[in-house]
Amino acid sequence: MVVIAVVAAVIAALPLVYLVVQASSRGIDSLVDEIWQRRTLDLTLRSLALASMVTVCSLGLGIGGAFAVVRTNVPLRRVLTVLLVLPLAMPSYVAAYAWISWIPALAGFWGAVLVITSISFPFVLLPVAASLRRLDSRQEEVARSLGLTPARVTVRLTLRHIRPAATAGGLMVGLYALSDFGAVATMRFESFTWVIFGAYRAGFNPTRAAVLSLVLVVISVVLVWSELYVRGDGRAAKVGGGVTQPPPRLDLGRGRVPITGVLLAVVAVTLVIPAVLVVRWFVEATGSGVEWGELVSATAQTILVAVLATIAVIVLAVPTGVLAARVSTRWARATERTVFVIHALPGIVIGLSVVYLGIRLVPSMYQRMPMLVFAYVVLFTSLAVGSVRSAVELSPTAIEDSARSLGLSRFATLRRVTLPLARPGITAGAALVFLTVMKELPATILLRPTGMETLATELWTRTSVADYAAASPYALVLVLVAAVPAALLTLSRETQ
Amino acid sequence: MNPTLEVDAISKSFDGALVVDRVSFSVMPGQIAVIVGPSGSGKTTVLRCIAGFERPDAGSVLIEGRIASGSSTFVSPERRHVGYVPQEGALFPHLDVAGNVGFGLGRTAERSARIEECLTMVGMGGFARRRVDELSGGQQQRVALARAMAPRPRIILMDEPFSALDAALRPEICADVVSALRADAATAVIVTHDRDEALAVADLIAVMMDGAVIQCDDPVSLHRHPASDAVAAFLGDVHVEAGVAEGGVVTTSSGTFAAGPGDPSGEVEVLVRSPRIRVFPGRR
Repeated sequence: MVVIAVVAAVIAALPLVYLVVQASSRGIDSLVDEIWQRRTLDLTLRSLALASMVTVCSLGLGIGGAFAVVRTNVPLRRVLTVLLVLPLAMPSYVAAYAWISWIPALAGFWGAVLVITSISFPFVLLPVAASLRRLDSRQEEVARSLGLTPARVTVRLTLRHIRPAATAGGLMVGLYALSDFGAVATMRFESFTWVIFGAYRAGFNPTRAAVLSLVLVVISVVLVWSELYVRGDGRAAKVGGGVTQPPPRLDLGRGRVPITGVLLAVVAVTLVIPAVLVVRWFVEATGSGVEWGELVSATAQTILVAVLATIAVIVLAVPTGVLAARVSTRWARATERTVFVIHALPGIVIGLSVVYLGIRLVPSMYQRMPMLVFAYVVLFTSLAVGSVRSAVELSPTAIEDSARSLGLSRFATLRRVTLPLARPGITAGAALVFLTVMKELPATILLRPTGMETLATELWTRTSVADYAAASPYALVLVLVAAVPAALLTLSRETQ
Repeated sequence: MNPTLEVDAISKSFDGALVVDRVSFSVMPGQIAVIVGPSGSGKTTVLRCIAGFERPDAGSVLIEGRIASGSSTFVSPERRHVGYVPQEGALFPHLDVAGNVGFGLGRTAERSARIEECLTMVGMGGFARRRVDELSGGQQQRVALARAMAPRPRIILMDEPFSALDAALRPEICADVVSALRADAATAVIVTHDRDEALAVADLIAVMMDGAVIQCDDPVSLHRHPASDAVAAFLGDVHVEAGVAEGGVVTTSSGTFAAGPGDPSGEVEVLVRSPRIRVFPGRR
């Protein structure tokens, strides 16, 4: 078990080694020269500007939205909550495709901000809403009786209470804005991921792509590290036992209608407009004839590669997740952390690293299926590790101790007790990986076998030549695949 | 001397159910009043009306002679200068002990001295820099009281302050809390369902049942002259006997007794406190 977990960590880290090898292949001086350029600085500033603007907008939307649905009497709160979270499931390049096909002038910084904000602000809304639900209203009452006005209670207590959740969510948004490829590429905004892709595709300077990737890795790791740091500091939300009294809802009075209007506008921009545009293009496409054969073949290929990747990921993720939940040695933690940090790295960087690794280590496998599956494993193992881990942690260790004392070996206990109990979590993790693989774009573009097309690459190819009608069937299938399960999942969780 | 708190015929309904029914009582400066009654009798709602977290449907609340809640007036909680200690303390988890106690104090020169003074009064001197999640339940309750006392409120309200504590710890913490309140000459209203706690600490006890105060008196009078058999039964085990009253004397099968106030006549019930019954060897 430990062996498999360590293998998982090594697999996760290996591509990065080759990224460093490639970046320094022309010597350290050349590496320093590549970094120490005006255009590298410009690129960094542009990317950070995008990430900052997206983070600020997402914090506003996420905190405001969470407040509205948890602490006020806006109507249709449950439906609104689901609708506000749903954009999370929308692939960025689908949303970007929809917008740019409607308003071509959006291309550039503000188009990228619009698309990335609209699909990543739920990263803020979800944890902040959860944190607001946990706040004990009696704390707010005590503060009132100590002479604080409602406004000052909000600042000194409520905002302070949600700060860790909002910070963690904001960092995730920033990280996502740095790593997203689909939206910036479609919006033709020159941030790191698109420039890296361009440098690699242009072919005359492969080292520059590797060097820029390395710079992006450093920026991302700093962000991941600060995210872990912020999360580690999370103090208990409440001192003492007993039930938490749910906070009272603020009566918006005459503001109820306008505020509901603002929330519905957010839903319209993030969800309804992209969906309507995709459907509109699809209706147009059916008039001029959809290439059904290619659509079916792309769907089949997508499902095939997603199944293979899911199996590989689960084989590695189950031991790592069990280990992370049950063993707390420094090695186990380091293993889990490694897998987690790698996951936060941009798909384009991982894709590129796997390309370099393939070319140097196993050239015969380059642009073959195993290489692509390998890249997915590196990218998405941590998704499954997380769900396995929390599922295992749910069942008390006393159950396993009882099994051992009844004469089961360590392995038999794992097989007959631990894993069956954790099966819902493992299934959920597998489903999550399956859906995420189906949507993945940058690594798929770089590593897909020659002649193989997935839904994502078909959409990408047609969007990049502005053939929006022909792109629509692929966008539609992707939205159905991505958003429908997410909607069902969120709804069932909300009704419970 | 004017009362610090006057509650005058307040009523409160939730979703059409009458929870508080024309409750009245008043508390003099320095008094500790206890509202006691079975759970669900509306005690906590009365407390929340005094604090200003709820607005009574009818009646008024006066604090130091000024209307805090009335038919046309409602003073918000932060302007009432009332200290509130909720069940289990509800300490702010992101602040240390000193940060909690100083929460309601301005940035004055007196601040740190007052924090230390209040902590000492509740027996928590030297704990100022501790994190609140490192404290035991009883310690958290003491800090919550110090936090409420620190801004020198006109009155301190405590909602079931000891119910979450170990039964073994309760009497000790209860005694410490009362001595801290007395040391600060604070006026307080404590809500509890525990009659022994009420009898031990109160200057004034209001017995609540089904939303109404059915008797409000000092502990000794309440014990000696309960207004009804329900009050008597709630305050201690009683033995009930039938009897006939006539001319200031009640005759029962156990003997004759002096009749209580009001000069009853006809068939009556006699309540005898079980601890007062002594059994002697008979002569017959």
